[in-house]
Amino acid sequence: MNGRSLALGQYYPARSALHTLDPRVKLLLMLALVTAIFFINNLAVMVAAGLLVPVLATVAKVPYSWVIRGLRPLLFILILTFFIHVFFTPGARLAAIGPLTATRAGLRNGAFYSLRLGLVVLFSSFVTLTTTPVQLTDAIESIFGPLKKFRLPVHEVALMMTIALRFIPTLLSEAETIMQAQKARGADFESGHIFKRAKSFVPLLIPLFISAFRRADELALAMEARGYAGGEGRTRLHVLKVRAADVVWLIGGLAVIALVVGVRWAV
Amino acid sequence: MLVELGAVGYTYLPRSEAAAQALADVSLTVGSGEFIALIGPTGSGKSTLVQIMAGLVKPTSGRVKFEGNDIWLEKARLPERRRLVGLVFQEPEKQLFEMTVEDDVAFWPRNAGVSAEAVPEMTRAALEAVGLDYPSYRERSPFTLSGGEMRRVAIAGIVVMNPRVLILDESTVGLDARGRMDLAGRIRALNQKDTAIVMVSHDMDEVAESADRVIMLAQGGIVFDGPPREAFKQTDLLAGIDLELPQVARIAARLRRQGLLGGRLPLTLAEIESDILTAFGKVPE
Ligand SMILES: Nc1ncnc2c1ncn2[C@@H]1O[C@H](COP(=O)(O)OP(=O)(O)OP(=O)(O)O)[C@@H](O)[C@H]1O
Ligand SMILES: [Mg+2]
Repeated sequence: MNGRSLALGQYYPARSALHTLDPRVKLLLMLALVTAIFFINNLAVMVAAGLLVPVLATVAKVPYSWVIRGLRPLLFILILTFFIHVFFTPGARLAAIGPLTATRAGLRNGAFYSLRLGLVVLFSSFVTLTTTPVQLTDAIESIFGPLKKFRLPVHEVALMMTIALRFIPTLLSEAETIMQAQKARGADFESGHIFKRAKSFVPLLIPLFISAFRRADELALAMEARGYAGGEGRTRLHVLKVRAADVVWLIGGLAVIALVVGVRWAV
Repeated sequence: MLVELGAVGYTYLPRSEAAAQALADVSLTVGSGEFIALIGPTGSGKSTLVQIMAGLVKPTSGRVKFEGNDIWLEKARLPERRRLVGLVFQEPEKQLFEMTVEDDVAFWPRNAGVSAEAVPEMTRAALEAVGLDYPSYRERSPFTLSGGEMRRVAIAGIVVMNPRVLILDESTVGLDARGRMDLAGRIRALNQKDTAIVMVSHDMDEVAESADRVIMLAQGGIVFDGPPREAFKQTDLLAGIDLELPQVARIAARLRRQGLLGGRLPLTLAEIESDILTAFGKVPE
């Protein structure tokens, strides 16, 4: 288990229009785009929407391979979705493998649904690919800011999210360390069937929690030592400001999305 | 041969921009009952090498054998082999993970299916072998211990498995002088009982006192493998990798330059004592 293989749409540093776009605009556009995908009911339109992926990757200056990598954790589910549809949709018989018959409609459905799932993941990954976790939580804090009036702890929740994101890699490497320590003392993570292997991870959890709590204590101490006192009256180093370019993106993006959704009724 | 490495290489983060080759073409053997010191400057690959010897890290090239069998070809037997080649990590706090000292040391016996009645006795014996009092430490949390105590508990967690080879990665660092002497004596005692020892160390006095074989590592490759007396004659090699001679040998070298001492190169206090007595015409006891 190394940190890299777990990068699901991990931030890719570059200077691009998408990177400098206001994270709130990015979040809103992404939500609209993902919703739009669910309105598409036609394979051709879905494929056309898929063409947006290389376009966005080019604009964002993120290598295609890096974008595709975001699909890796989902590969199994994508393939499963595809084959379930291929073999379990009634329709004209295409081919038979043992007791299973593939149908023409199944092939179509399989392509449609796995493409839909893949696109949802890919489009959402563009937000995390081009936005640092800190910007992202700032955006969330700003979007939900009005709720502060109702005494909801928006700042605190956003801070918790930032910290959680920051500590994911740390916890992964911590888990790796504890695994090594247990392996050194005869624990077995490598052999046996999948259930036995999954079971061997249970003794990993308690030490991991203990160390997470220890880290949390240390972090709280370090933050207090540097004078952190919460959301009230706190100023920011980077203030989110909407620029003209952000407005253009927002309007342009919504227009494209409206087009995608509109096709459903136009065709 | 207990452990045998054949042309082992290791690269961290292979196939990435940050790829770093830590070991290249390392071959060595560890025979039963040997006491080997592994020395080399910071970053030379010592920790990486011992993790590979212990079967915790799979080399990116080459073979690791235990009693003649390639350990990575028989994954089902890896846990058993990791017991037989026990490694104490460089950072003891990374080795400890249970809530109490007792649970931590008892991790292996409990998981290995040792009968419940036998576990406390094994735990006690392991803690005493590293010089810790069982009743006063068993309930403590490992993370409230001092650095030196943590090291001892970490060693106990490995000693309890009764390994054939015990590998210690700088395990005497952070102890006071007395503690270091005490622990060194305990490690020698384990060696007397036929446990092979591989000790990573920066302390040449410790190496001279204990080891009967020295392996020198520099930039991921072995540059010397032989008896300590030979090792400390390689002054160019040692200077090239910023290692000092043991204090005793340095004093002997000065006395030699003054023409006061001749003959062999003494390495331990006992040796230089008897050499000096002989030089003064006295008979060493
Ligand atoms: N997790 C890692 N990722 C990348 N490179 C690493 C990693 N661990 C070690 N290295 C590199 O591998 C090389 C060998 O490291 P290693 O820890 O084996 O050295 P060492 O001889 O034990 O040093 P020290 O005396 O400081 O403990 C070093 O150049 C180090 O920077
Ligand atoms: Mg090291």
